[in-house]
Amino acid sequence: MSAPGHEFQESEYLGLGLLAVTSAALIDRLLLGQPIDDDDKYTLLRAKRFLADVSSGAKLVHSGVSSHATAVDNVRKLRYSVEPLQLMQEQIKSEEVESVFERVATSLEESVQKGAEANLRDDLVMAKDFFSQLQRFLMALVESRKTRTGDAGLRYAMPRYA
Amino acid sequence: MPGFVTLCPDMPDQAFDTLDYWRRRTHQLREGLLRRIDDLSASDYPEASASYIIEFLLAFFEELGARIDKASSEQELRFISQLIQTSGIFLQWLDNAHTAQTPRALALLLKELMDRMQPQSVVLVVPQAEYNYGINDLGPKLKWYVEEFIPHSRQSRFEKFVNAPLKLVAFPRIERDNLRAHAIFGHELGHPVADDFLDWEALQPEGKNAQAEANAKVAQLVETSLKSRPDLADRALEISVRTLDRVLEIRNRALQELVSDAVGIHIFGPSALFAMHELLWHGDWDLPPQQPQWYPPSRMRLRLMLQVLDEKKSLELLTSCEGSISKKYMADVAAFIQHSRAIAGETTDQSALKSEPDVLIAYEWVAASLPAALKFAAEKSGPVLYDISVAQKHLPELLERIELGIPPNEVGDPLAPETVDVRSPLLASWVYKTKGVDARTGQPLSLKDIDKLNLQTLLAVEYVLLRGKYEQHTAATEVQK
Repeated sequence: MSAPGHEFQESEYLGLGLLAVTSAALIDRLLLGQPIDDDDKYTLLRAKRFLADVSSGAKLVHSGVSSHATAVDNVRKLRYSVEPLQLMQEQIKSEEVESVFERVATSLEESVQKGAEANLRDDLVMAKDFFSQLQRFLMALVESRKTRTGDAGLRYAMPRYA
Repeated sequence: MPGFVTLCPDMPDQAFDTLDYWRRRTHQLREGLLRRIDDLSASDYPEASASYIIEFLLAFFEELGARIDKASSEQELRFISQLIQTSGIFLQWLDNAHTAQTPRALALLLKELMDRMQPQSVVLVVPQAEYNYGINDLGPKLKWYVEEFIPHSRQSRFEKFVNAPLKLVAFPRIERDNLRAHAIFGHELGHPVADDFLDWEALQPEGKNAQAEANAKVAQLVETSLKSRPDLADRALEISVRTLDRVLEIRNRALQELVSDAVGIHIFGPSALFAMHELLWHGDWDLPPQQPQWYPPSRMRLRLMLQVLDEKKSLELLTSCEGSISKKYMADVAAFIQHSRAIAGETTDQSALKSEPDVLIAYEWVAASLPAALKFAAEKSGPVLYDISVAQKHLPELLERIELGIPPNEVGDPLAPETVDVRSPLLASWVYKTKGVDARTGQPLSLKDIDKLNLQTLLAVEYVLLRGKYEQHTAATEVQK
């Protein structure tokens, strides 16, 4: 009866958080002209897919058009991204999220293939900034659900006589 | 220096490396989890699925070591170490899935039904402290674990795991011995069907139009809200996204539950209604969807289940069961069904849904999707439909067996008995319990009588499953000869 996958919500935040923090570091390496291996390329292509999904989510919100079956997933990814977007150095207007993220996703994919060419660098900086903010947001989300030390969950279950 | 033992005279004088320290700490956590998982591999589980999950986890956390070694920042290690901590949930599941906590028949019953919908399924059945049933499609989750956390070059090791139809099914531990209540499992088997429907519908022209219509309503709702709160104008995107996300979630959760309820009826027949009515009775019939589970109102669910049963004429067939022994039970069964109909006949749940504008948008969308969703549920349940017309013929003898104090697992000539459908003992048990009277003494069923009925039902299911396995084995041996 319970929502399928409810137990895995936190793992989803952690997986996306790891993708975000790793991608920010790898984009930095691209900007510095340092080499990346095939596993790193795979990670960056997943980061590119995330940016493209956020763009699709924004398209759905603004125009009501969904290009594929994963509308719920894309809107959720956009929801995770709203706060990081507000904290980015370069402010993106809400009506521009769809086009900007689509462009940044394409630039990231091109950079993975041929390196951080001059015309791609601004978009890479933007992607790095976004992923840095996103990983902070996701870590805060995970932390807000945690009890580090406590009363073994007995606070509400046990009668208090004192 | 005399009097001192120098253990390592060449100990290098290294500077403290923070990243290395936390890397080792993360490895330590990983090792701890690996050992506890390994401890569990010695337990007796009702089905091979637990060993399968243990094998996956051992491989996953072994390979995660490579990801830990590759981490270039403390923050990466922090995310990985939190994943290890979170994965402790697997220990909890496996700790409860062994035969001391989970009756073997329960796991085998589910596997039997699931195999008919998706052959070669892997099912892990676990009791939980929370009073609720649940299903988790673990296959895609394990795939996701691998894609997110294992370096791409090491992922091929997991191919056999990530494509498996692996399900985790949880049930309330308090009901462990009450097999009748586990007719809810039919609903749980409906969840994957509901998810398939949502994926299918999103690609249909009608689905896309309905999505666009809901979006327009959300946009209108946000615009109206912002007019009254101009101070929030710069948060328009955030408010739009949150509202649409909420509408999508409420709508999808409603369809997940309603489609699953319909599948539950197709799989378990009237037993699913009895079990669900008992489960829902504990709460408010009209409670509108609430975070985080967003269940549809219970009254709506009961109404839908009765609708599906009526379309199949199942209740009519059940209550018109022939024979004097059936007749003495059916008046009470009919009264219970009438009680359900009276609850479903009220429309107070509909008014409750109108109280929140986003809930209303979501449920207007649900109403538009429901006819196609129910058709989809009926089609997908085809391989595992419960044939009430056959059950109706078996019911008198099954009730007689319960009255005699023996498991209701077979009918016909005692020398050449016919094994019944594995779900029929549950239906007979429900009918007997609904009457609520001990056939021999005429007294209301005591808790001891109910315990005995539970045991008879459990044994009947075990016998039916064993008989099925024996016949399969015999048939296979004959073919070999």
